[in-house]
Amino acid sequence: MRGRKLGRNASHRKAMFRNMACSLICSVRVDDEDENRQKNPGRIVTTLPKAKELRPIVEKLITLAKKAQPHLVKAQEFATDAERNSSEWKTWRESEQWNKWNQAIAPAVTLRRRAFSKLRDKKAVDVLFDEIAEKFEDRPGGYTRVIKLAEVRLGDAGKQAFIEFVGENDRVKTKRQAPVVADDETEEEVAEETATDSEETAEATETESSEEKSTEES
Amino acid sequence: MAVPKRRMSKSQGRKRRSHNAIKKVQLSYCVQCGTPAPSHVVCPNCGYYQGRTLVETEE
Repeated sequence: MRGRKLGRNASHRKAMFRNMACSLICSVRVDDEDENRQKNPGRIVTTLPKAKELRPIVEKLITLAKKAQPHLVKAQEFATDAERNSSEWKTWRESEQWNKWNQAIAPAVTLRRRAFSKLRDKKAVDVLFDEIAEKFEDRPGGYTRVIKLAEVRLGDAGKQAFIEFVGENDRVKTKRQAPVVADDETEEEVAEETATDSEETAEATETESSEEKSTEES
Repeated sequence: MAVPKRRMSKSQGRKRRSHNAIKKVQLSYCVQCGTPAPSHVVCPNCGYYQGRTLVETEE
């Protein structure tokens, strides 16, 4: 099989990655009133191999959600703001407008159902399609990062890492500044160098001649 | 079934294990606080990693 088995059978692995993907996606939406809310939203801590295996699974789900975005925008054109089962809504439902809306939104609904079949969690699918898909609209892949932690797990010394969504805590690149050199100085330096070179050659000839003399004397 | 003819001497066993030693982990020092830690890892003391603090630590 492809990838790591992680000491689990197929169904166990599937269920585990489903749970992990749900946890990671749901961690984006933070409930401010919750006392036990996590400090860094959009992040889960696991072992390094599990984090690495989770990465493609989550990224494929995001690609799925991103595909639905244009259909939703298109369907918005024919949608209605009226409350469900109100008289206005009923007229819209009977009209051609609804038919168009239905046609336009159908692919998005299919994609949502596909995502749900993978996650089996309504809240996670909501967060995925409403928040994460919008966030990564302009990014062509690479939505998550895995970073290793220094501490190993107590008990089995498992190597730990966290997986989080890109966009926050991004690495800041500091460009190294090239040293600024004024033009006047460089010209002077060049002049000096040539001068020293000529001096050296003169010295060399002198020493050679003196050496010749010394050999003659001896 | 095939069985060893002679008992393995201490010397032979130890010779075989002469290459089994585990090497020490190479540690590098945090740029920000100087705490030794394995390389490519978030600093266990200040949470610093490649130009930004990733794990907030409570003082």
